[in-house]
Amino acid sequence: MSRFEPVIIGFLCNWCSYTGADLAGVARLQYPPNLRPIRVMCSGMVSPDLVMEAFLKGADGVMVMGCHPGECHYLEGNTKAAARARVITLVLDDIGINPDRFRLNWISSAEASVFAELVTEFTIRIQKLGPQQTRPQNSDTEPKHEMQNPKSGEKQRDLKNNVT
Amino acid sequence: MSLKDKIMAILPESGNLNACFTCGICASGCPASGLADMDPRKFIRLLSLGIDEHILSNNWVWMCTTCNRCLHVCPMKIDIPQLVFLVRSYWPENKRPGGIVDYCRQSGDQDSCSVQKIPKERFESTIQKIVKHVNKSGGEFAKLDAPIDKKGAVFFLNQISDMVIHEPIEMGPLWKILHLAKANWTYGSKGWAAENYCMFLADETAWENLVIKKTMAIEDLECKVLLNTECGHDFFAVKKGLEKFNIPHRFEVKSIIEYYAQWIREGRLNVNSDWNLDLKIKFTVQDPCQLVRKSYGDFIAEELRFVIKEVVGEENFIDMSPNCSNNYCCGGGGGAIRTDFNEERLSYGKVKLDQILETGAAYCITPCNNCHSQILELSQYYHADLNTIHLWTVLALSLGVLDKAERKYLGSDLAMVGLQNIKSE
Amino acid sequence: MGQATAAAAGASRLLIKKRGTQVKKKGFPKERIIVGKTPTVGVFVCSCGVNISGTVDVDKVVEYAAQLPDVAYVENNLFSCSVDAQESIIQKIIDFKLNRVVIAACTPRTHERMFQETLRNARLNGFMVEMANIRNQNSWVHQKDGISATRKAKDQVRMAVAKVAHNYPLRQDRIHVVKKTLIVGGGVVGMVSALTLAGLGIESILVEQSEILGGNTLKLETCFKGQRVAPMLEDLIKRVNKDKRIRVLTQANLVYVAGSVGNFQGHLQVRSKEAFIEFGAAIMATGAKEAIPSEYLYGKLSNVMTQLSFDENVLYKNEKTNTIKCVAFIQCVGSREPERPYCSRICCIHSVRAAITLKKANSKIKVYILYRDMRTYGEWEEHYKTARDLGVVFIRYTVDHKPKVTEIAGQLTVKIKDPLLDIEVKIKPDYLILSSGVVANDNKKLADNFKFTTNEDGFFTGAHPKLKPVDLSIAGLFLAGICNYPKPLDESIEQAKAAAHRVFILLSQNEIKSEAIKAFITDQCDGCALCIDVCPFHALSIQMPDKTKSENRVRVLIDPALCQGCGICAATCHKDGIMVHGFTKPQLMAQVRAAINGMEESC
Repeated sequence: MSRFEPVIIGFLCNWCSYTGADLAGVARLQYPPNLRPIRVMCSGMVSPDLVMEAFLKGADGVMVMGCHPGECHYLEGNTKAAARARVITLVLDDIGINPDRFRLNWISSAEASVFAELVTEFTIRIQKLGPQQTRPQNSDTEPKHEMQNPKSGEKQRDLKNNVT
Repeated sequence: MSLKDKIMAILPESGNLNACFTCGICASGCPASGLADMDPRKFIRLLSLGIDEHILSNNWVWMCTTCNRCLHVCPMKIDIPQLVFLVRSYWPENKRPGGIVDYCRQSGDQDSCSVQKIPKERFESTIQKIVKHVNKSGGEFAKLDAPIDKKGAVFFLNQISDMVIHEPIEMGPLWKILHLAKANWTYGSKGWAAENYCMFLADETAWENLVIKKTMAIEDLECKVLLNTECGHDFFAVKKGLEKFNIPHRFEVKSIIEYYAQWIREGRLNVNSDWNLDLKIKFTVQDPCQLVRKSYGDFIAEELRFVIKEVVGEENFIDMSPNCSNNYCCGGGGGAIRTDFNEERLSYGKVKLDQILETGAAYCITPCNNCHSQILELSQYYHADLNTIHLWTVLALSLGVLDKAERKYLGSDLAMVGLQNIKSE
Repeated sequence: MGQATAAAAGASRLLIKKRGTQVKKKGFPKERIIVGKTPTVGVFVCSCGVNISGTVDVDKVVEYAAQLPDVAYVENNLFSCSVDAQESIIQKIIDFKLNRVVIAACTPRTHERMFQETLRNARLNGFMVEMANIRNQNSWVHQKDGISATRKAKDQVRMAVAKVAHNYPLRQDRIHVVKKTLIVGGGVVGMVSALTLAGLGIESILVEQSEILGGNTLKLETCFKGQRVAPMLEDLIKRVNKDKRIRVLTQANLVYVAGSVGNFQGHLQVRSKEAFIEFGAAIMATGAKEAIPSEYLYGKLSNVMTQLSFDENVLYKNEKTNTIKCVAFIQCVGSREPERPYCSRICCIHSVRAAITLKKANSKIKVYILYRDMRTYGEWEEHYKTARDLGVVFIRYTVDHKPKVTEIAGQLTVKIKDPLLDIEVKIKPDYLILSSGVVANDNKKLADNFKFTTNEDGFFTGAHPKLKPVDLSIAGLFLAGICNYPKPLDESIEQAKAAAHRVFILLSQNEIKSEAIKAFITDQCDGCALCIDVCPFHALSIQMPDKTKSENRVRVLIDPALCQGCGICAATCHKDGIMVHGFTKPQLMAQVRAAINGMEESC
């Protein structure tokens, strides 16, 4: 059991990617067991705080998955998610986490095979990158990271402005 | 008036060439596709677009064997062979292939209906000569007769003219089979010839005349069945002619294959495949288009296979693909064998030869004289290691009654099989 | 689905008098008050026959769940969705005083609603349940690795338990339903919708922008099945005008719309006057139009015409068909090319029928149809065969070898290469008919008003092509006819009936329940207004402080009728001032942390 089994958190939108993932099950498409899915209503609902929290708690990778552009159930939630993804990538780079550990994908409710392929591909990528170093040794401690520090409010504001 | 309009006027029903939606299934399974830069679909297309000069000058209609495979696979059931027939009929006589014209005119001039000039006396003397030869083998055949004009016989047997002239010895095996089956049969001094090249010429009047002559000959002798020898096209020409020209008659038209099968089942022909137990020589069969696809359908193909399996052993029969009603024509039909388009005819037949060779069989059984001639020529032309035989040959062999002189088409592997019981000349 | 719904409309019409007479109202016992109580979670792990237990070691998951914080009870069911298991779950909730439930089974997309009812039957608020999807997203996709699948299932259960601890009861508001329909478009589709609804007892307002009812159908002589259109149309118009439940407004346009399902308000411009209307649902039946060709000398010669103008000016006029010698049709004019990639579906059938009509009127006319692919689908295939049998000649062309049309001294010549013969065929038609296809009307303003979108070609699209073909993506809005995509009249009528029935289902209720998954404002909101711009549904606004209540903070106000619960606002707000019920920051954070924490112990 020496193989590295990464922890990957996936935010799946209710209408497209979560449904696509369900369909992958119906079609019995096999993919690695490292993804921990979290259902959200829309990829636009995924606050960057959640992604950062995942990394700072020690996740090895994070995927956000939404509907294809133009197919968002809420018209434009996925384009908001795309804008945030660019910011998340910048911040990850800033704080020394390889931005390759994060990715945003579009998966329609019919694209079960695309879902399985992307999860497989991402899992292999994370396995190659190895364990994420900020993973805390003592999982009981509540890390106080920069994003949640009220003192850095100015910086947050700037980021949000970029997004919206 | 365009050709199409003329055809439509004659054939409101089967002239439904309009229904064609150009799918091309006809062309894809036609061995004549590509000859003279034509195929069945192009033929239909030219007709529907009214490009008549092309149709009336392109020799393709004479390379087509009217084998009906295009009709068999057509989703709209367009009778393309019928259209080919009609187009042939619009060709001026002097432009039609001379070989077919000669054969038709020759047969029309004679009581025998033969395409060869065979006077009554010559026919009778040839028969007598072969009867004597058969009688010599003694035993059950010492008193065998081949009657001519025997009034009240059940079967009126027809005869291929070429055989009378060129290889009369081939008549023997069939007579022996009829003798063993105790069939009550006769030849006629009139209407005996198993040919109808007027049908190929698309000369309806001449075709009708031949059928009428034959009908009268059979009716005169009060026979119940026109027993068609191993020949495809005359079977169709008579059967179709009786119906098409509405000729009154009291006899039935039957292929001898049907009786081979019946007599084997009834035990009248005590066939046996033991001779092939150790030899394991493989046989395949060419389903004659005129008999199977165009007349009887798969029924006769099944009967044919039953006979062959009884005779050579079930495990020694290998079917061709495709087969039965879906079988490919050999390329010898439709009068093609009497045209000058030899190169095209042999290229057409190459498809068939390849299908035969694909089976790996050493022998191809051809229960039709046209098929026999064509496949024989194909295997010689393409240097194929293949024997082409009449069904009666192998049937007589399995009955143990095939003498040495009757083995012309057998290979060396079968030259001596079963000869020990036969008294040789 | 569209046909089924249309058939249901017919059946409902017959049953209208008996409707609702045998309904038993489903009642739920009064909810237990659980506010302030510590979480007591029951975990039910489903085997789904062997669907889950064949891969996941269910016993180990049960054992693991039992030692998770807040968990008071765990059991395994063969099928958690079975009636027996439901009763058992209810009993366990009561016996163990559970106030939260985790179902580790299949997907919430199919079963969450059912388990919510189970909870309500056990006197719990329906929103106190979370599902861990250990079948579709676990056992079925990790069939070869039971050990990893079991570990993942434990993680999924732990995440669900962590989330459910933060769940709280939610309420669904009741919305009063205005029992009136707005139908935009007074063609056959709009009229059939209105009459179908009238037959089901629902009133409608039929809005037509032109002066008369009838739409495109006014230009049709016969429908594809051969019946004459005019008598049918006259009858429809008469019935619509006579029906008291249908208010017809011609020369009318919709100017502005507000509100949401059950409760829309609209401003109409009717000639020079303005009118205010209220409606609970709306059907878009705005039709489409014949495209104007830009090829083959169209517009330059009067005998090059479109299908509809040929119908109107030549086809049904005996004095013309008696003298015509030759007619050619060109299909796919402007269609199925990069600028207009779709097939209009009806032009092939239309041309084939016109060709048949010509041949029947005068069999001597030579008729040619130049086509790319003959799409006389379904039963219309029969027309294609009839046309061929009558001698209509079909010649195929490809988009890179289009026919060439020239004119010398008024004589048209069409040259086309027959692909089978590779011969150029010359046709000299008296009339050249261009099958130009159907293009969408300018629907942008209407779509913007209602806040739905059109597809790239300007047509309206159903919320789901199979499951919800006549629903638009906004609740309470429906579509029918060729504003959706080009189709023959009979299919349009079918859709009209289907849309009417969808409206009927909605408007036969006195009140409807709103979704519970909606945004709410927390105490953290400081009125910074960042969230307002990002809301795609314009559900947010600024509320100035009420000085009379001695408030001094500006806050954001949510219109629950417009909010769809997407949470774009929540992810934008960095103060946790706005969140979405069921997906709050604490709930999602708990899931994220639980996904990572405890990984080691679950191994």
